[in-house]
Amino acid sequence: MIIYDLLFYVFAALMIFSAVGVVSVKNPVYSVLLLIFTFFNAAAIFILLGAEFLAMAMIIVYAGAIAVLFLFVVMMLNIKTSQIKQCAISHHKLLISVVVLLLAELIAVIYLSLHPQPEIATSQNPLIIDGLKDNTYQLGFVFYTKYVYLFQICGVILFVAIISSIILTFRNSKNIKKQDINSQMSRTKESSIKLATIKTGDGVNAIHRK
Amino acid sequence: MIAKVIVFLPLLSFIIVGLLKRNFVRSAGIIASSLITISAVLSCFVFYKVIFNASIEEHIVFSWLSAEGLSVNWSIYIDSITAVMLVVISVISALVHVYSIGYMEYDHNLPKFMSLISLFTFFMLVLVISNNILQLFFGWEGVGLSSYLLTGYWYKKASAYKAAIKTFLINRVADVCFAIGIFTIYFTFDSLVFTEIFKNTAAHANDSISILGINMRSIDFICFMLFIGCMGKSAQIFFHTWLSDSTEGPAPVQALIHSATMVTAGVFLVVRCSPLFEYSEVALEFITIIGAVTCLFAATIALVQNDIKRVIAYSTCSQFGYMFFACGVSAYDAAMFHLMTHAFFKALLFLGAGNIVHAMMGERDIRKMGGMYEKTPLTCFMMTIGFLALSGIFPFAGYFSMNAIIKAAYAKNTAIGEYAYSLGVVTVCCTSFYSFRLLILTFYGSSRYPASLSKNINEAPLVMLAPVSILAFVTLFLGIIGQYLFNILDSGEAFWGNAIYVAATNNLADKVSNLSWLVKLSSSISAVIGIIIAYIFYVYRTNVPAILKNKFQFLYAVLLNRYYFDEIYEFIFVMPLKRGAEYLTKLTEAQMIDAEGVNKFAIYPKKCSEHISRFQSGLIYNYVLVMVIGIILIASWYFIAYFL
Amino acid sequence: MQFTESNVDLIHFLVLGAIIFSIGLYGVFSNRKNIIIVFISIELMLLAININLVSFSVFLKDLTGQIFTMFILVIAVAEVAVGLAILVAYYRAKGDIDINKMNQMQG
Repeated sequence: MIIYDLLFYVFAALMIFSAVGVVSVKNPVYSVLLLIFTFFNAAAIFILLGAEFLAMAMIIVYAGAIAVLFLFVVMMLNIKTSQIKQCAISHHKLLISVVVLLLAELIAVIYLSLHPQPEIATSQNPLIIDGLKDNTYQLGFVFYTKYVYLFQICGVILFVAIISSIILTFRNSKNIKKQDINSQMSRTKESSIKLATIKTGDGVNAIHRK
Repeated sequence: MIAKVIVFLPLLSFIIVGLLKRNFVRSAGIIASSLITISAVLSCFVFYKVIFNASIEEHIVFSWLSAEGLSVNWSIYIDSITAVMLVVISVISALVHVYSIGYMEYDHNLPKFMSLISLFTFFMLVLVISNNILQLFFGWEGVGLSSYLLTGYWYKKASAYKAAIKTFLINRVADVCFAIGIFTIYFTFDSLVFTEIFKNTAAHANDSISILGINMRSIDFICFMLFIGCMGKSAQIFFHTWLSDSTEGPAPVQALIHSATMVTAGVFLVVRCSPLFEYSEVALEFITIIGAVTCLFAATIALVQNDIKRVIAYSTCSQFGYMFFACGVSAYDAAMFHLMTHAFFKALLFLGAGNIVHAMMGERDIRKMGGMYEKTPLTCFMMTIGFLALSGIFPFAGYFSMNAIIKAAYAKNTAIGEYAYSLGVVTVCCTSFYSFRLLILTFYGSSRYPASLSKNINEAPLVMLAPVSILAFVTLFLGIIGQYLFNILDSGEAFWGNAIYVAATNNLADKVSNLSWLVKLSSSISAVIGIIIAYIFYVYRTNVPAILKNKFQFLYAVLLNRYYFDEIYEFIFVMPLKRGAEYLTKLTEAQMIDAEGVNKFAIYPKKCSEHISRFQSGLIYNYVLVMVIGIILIASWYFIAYFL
Repeated sequence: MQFTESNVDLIHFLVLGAIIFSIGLYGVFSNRKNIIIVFISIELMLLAININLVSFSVFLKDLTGQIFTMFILVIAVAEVAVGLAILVAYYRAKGDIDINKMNQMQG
């Protein structure tokens, strides 16, 4: 269908442009925003492919969490665009040629490997994509039965990531005044109150002299 | 069986005592001495069995080489010569072990010393009981090694280790000729086993061999080469310089090695190979000349030496000259008899000298001794017995054996025989002169040592006196026993069995008994003359030596410096080699190999790594770039492979 | 998902993934400004891989690709969290995130 091809080319072109923009704009905040745009385009392509759960997962996780995290860090680190010296990248041509070469090789590999057609999964495979059920159902069906251990381990990985980020960045400020309930409750009368008789006119400083 | 025990007990002692630490002084001494004493007793038993039952013991212990055509085994072969040597070696070794318990009591490592002399005994025993010449060579090298270890025992002293190296090197040079002799024996006889060689000697008597283009009879060549090996081992002239330096070792070492056992290996070899030597008159004449010359040469040096041990060492050298020229005139039985008696009285003299040196706290110069008779009477008495035996006075041991040799030399009736005879008689005079010079200067007369030393000089302890007294006892009676009881000399075959072969033309037994009484007594007469001269010089008119020294200054200097042999050898051999080695070290080692080769090779990795470490810039993007380039290269490799 | 008549084939998606990957890779080593761009470029590379996997899974009718994509998602999240935490700690220690000064591993 023409609309299908058109949509694909549009989203692909947008994605490529925004990706190029990510790596070349000077302002890092613009970089992150363009990254979010790239993610959205990728999600659209996923929906085109029919993997809508993954599309939504990408938007929620990547665009919603990761890119926001980037943005937080960029703003926290306070990178001023004026500070960034605009130096010409050395060996510019070498880098471009390396990347172009890599790209050419990747495409060559893709063409060479796909011309003998790869086999399509048979119906005995429980992972076959069934055209009648939707993507979410199918993913869930497999995740919680066949891959449940891996799924739980993912949870553990995320847990470990949380703990590590906290440990790396937590700062104990020394001059914050906090309450220590135990020492408050364990004060005694002898340690906190001192009765003194002062002659009139001496002033409170007399206490220290005694 | 008993023979195996005799041979392996010293090895066992070496291993056991060698493993002891240096504070186990008492147990080391007891273990080593008892093991060797057992060996000595068993040797006497074997001697009795072999001599009186006229049996030859032979068996193979272990196989050694079995190559195509060459078959040599570790073996035990005991005939009469071997039996005599066994008794000599093990008895003297046992006595030396006991002696060194006392002499080396305060040494830094007595167990090591004991294990080394046990090892030496083992090697010597292996040498004498071998039935083939290769095992004999093994023992030969082994005793050379032990002699090196023992001479350089106090290795921290520069003179000691240099003396040890000298010993080993001179022996080694002679051993090269010995080895050539062994090769030629194999080449000629196709076997290295004595019995087979001797059976075939007559058949190969006229084989000739061409060495370096010179044609000569094989047997002549073999005998020459073997004899040169013996010259090195027994310190004959030209190979003698090591013997006097070897006195750097402890006194028991001299008693064992340089009087009784190692140096006798040369004579043993010649007597053992008597069938071979008998077929080669040239070699026999050569042996006679060398033996006679050494005899007089060493005796003249000993006339003027002032170190007590060196005098006795040169006397050893000279006595071996006697033994060799006895072999040269085909009087092998006289040579063996003299070997036996000489072993005992020379060991006695060395141990006695050790007693004196021990009592004098290490002083060895006889000009600083004197009047020791009051302090060490027993040692004096025993050394007198030893020197009387050495001079050949009736009825001590030396008389019979030396007399027999000199008579045989005269009876040979050839020019060389007479030459040897005359040298021998003159040497007897010199021998008795220096013996009594030593005796008088050391023991009699007034004391010349400092007075502060006198209260510390006392007689040696019992453990040192006992071996000396046993030796003295043997010396007293061995001659008489040998001559009259065993009939060693006169009966030839009855005692020695078939071990010694004398060609029919050389048999001197009849001629000896027909000599005139003047010849028979000539050695005794010259011995008495020597004693009288010594008495005059040192007791009666003591200024005579000094006058003679002044008149014949040049002669005195030559004799005192041992005919300058050391200096000549140093000039001819040592210095060129040293210079050459230094030059080569500087040129090839330092310049060519070190600077050009090795150092350049060593700098190269360093430079390479300096270049390569520039890759590690620390910057992430560089690392990623390199990774990607690597991936691209790998992928292009596969592409090229795919498309080609 | 009915694209039986479309001309867009598996190859197009794979080529798209390859292009995005290269762009991300270019971002890693051609940026001399700051290190945030490196992180972002890594995310781009991961995105490209996800596209790859999902397109394979759809065209081969095998669910394995999408499952693996989920796991990659999880790992990417964990990696970004920890990486940014390290970056923040580094910034607190050094005061600057100039990538040219991050060469302590030199030599």
